[in-house]
Amino acid sequence: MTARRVTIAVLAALVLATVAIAQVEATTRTHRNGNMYLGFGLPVVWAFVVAGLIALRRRPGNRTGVLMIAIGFGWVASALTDGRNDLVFTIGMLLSNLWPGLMLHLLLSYPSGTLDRRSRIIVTAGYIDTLGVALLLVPFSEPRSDGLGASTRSAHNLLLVSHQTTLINVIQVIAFAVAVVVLGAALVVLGQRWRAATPPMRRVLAPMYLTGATAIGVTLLIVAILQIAGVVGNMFAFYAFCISFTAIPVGYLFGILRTRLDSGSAVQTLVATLRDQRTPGGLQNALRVALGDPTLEVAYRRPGTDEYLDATGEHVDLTAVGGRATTEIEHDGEVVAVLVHAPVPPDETGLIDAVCGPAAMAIENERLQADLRAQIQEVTASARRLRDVLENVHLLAVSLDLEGRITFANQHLADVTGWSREELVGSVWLERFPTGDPYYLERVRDERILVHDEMPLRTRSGDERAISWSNTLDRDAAGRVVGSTSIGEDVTDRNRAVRQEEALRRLATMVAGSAHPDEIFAAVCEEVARLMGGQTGNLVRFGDGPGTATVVAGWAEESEIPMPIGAEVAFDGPTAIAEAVRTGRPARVDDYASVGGELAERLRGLGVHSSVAAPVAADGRLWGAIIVSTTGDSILARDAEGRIGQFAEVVALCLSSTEARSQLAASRARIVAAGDAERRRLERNLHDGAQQRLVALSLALRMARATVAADHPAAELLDSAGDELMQALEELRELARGIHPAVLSDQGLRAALGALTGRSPVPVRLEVELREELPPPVEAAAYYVVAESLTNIAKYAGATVVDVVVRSEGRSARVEVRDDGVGGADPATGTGLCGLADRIEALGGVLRVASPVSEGTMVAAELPLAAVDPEPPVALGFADSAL
Amino acid sequence: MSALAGKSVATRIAWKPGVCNDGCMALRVLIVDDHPGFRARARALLESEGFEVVGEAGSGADGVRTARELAPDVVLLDVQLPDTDGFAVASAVTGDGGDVQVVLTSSRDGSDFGALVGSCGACGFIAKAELSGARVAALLR
Repeated sequence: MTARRVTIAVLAALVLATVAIAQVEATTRTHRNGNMYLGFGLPVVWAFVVAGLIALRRRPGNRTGVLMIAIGFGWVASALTDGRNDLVFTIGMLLSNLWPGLMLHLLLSYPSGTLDRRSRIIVTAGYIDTLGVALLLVPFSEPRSDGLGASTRSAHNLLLVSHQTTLINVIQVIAFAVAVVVLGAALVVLGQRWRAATPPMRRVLAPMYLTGATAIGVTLLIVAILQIAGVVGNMFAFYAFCISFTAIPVGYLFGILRTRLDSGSAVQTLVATLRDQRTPGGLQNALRVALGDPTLEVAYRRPGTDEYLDATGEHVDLTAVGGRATTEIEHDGEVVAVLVHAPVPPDETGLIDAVCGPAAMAIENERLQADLRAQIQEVTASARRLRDVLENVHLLAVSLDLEGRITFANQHLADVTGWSREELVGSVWLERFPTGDPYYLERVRDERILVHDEMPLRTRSGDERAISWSNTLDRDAAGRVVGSTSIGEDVTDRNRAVRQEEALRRLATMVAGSAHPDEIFAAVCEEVARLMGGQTGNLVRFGDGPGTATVVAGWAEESEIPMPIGAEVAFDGPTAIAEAVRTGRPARVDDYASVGGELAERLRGLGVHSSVAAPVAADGRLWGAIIVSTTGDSILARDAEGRIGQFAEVVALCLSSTEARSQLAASRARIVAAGDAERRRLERNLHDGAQQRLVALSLALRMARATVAADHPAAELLDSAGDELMQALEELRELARGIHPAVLSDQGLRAALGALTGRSPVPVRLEVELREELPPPVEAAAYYVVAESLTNIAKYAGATVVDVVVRSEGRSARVEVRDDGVGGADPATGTGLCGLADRIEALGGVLRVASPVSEGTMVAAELPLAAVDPEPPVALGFADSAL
Repeated sequence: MSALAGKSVATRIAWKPGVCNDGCMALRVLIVDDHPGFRARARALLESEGFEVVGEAGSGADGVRTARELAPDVVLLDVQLPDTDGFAVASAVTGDGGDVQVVLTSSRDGSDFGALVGSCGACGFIAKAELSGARVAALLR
């Protein structure tokens, strides 16, 4: 059923009830003054029903309206007891006590229309005490006999069992007492609610509570008076009763009206206040005034986010509003703000709505301003953070305008450059630091800035530092470039460390790669001098006598005069080298101008201004020194001593490495030579011993055989013995040849190779081109290369011809054996070739085998003619006097 | 193996005596070797086969001098000598321009010396164990 139909039905029922009551009163004339009765009674009915209908219309889901309508009709029901018809009378009896319960329900459920637990108990008790007691008494009550207007009543109670006056009196007394308790409890609850109510809530509660309390008070008073005085049917009491009850719906209607009036005045107040409030938060103040809530806050929603701000742009946390109510304000379908306010009864929200409608524009406006302020705060905070970072970072930070003027310089820049910040800011960068990039500004203006670059920066004291810059363009709000900001890291030390590390690594690689010490020392001199910014670098070896040294290696810039290699230096006076010798530690002289002595004089003659000398220790003894010197005015860096010391260690490493290598090589050569000597001795022993005896035996046998006739039984025996002996001699010869080729030591390589190739089952083309006789170990190695190769070729190669070439090549001999066989030989699997490789490496040579499948095999050996001296090494050639 | 078998056959042939018993004058032999034992046995062997051993020498220098003094037909010359080698002695002896012929011998195999045997003036090489008058005679020019 629609609300309209409900309204029509209720109004129809109301009219019907009014007519019915009027009819009843007109026909029965129950009341002495019937018109007055109707005149006071009916307005109560109408007031409740009409107010109920209005309430129902305002809030269809709220029980308040229903309760008020029920109360109105409850009054009608109570009038039914005036009817003459028995059924009407009986229904009137049953329902006549309904309305006080409904009244209590209405008061306690107002304004939400719902009951909390405590109120529900009170209301239930109220219903029992009124409706319940009436129902209980109906079978025992015949109103015509109860003395209450009995003379005026003519209808009968249809449900009467037996009239019990005493019972009725007793129960009524009890019911009265209960009513007092229930009403008292209701007053307590209502009083508590009033105390706890916020101002807007009180505004809503006030009319209803005031009228309700008055009605209850009047009721109690009347009942009390009636009970005490025993007065029955006093019409004045009835009139007062009616008036006080009519006041309840009238009060309710007044409340609604006041809300309407409040809305209008609130809007007016709002508009008036807004006019005067221009500062941030003005709207909030206006709303506080308009809605009478001094605690109200407005939280503006940031456009496009779920973040809320106050008018000043500060963040508001809506999850922490406590027990306060929030009301979303929408504009164009979007939530633009949330009001955080004291809880408002449902009836009052209309006020907020009424106020917020006109305020929406202002809210939207202030919301955008709040957002703007928040953005400004964020930008400001961000800028502050950036500036703090730039200020505190341990990097150089500088901002330049388009004229190249310094607009910002952090303290670290001041610390590094030696200029104060006051001296820096306002000055032109390139004037202050002429080593900077001259095209920098041009690039900034053209927006072609190099994001990273490294530039030298000369400090106030003249030091040159390498700075690695990261550059950013600065733009204004319109996006125009207004300057640049650069962050720089002083990478001077790091660069130097990296360069030093690279130089040391290069030198270490040379040492590890067995480069000649002369080359390594020359490289050390150049690397260390260049790295330290020196114009010359020298390595000297100390002589036997005190105070003398020989230049071993040196480097000088092209414009400088180098110290000749091999030059003798006598270091007298307090020169750097003399100090290094004296202390055993690196030493420096920053200005030779006033240093005495012959060496200082000589150095001055070479233009040397300052030097750092670092001693080189080898094998626990002072071997020599590295000296780096500058000419002109410059001096070497403060940390030069330690850094040059690292290069001195490389020299020491080179010395010990060369020493160790030569010892190892000598040791290997000794082993090979000792092996060769032993084999020679063994072969010689075989030759001089067993072979000679067997030869003698062979000749003796032959002579014995000559004395025996051919048919003699011993002849065959002697022939057989002779054959066996020849066989044994042949095998012994083979063995001796394998142990050592005597012809090699007796007749030399050429003859030995001739014999060797002559015995080869595969034809050999031998070519020997030697400019000089080879050292015995080299000859032996060459011989064995050919011998092993020919053995392998005969066994595996399937070759038709072999080319053997032995020739001198520079300072070494090359032995090459090449066949046209099947190839595919793996040198790693042959112990013969492995042993050969060891023998050759012991001589400082190299053995190579190339054996592609089907393309024959080539075995080549490079044998240095300056064979390693198998004698125990004394020392490095250039260092023998010191080591 | 075939090379070894061939040598065995040669040895048998060489063992047959009387090569030089054809009435001609016995060949005069100088033995140069540092082993006295070998010299004695070679002398006995060669003499048993009709050679006349006219002298012995224990070193290269002795050998050269004795060869010049005695002017033998044949010098049986050991390759390995304490002061020099047989090739040098052979060159010295044959270089004197006489008719002396040199037969090199050694307890080693001839192949161990390669081309040296042919280039030193000697007329041939006989392994010591294979020494016989017949082998010597066969090498003579």
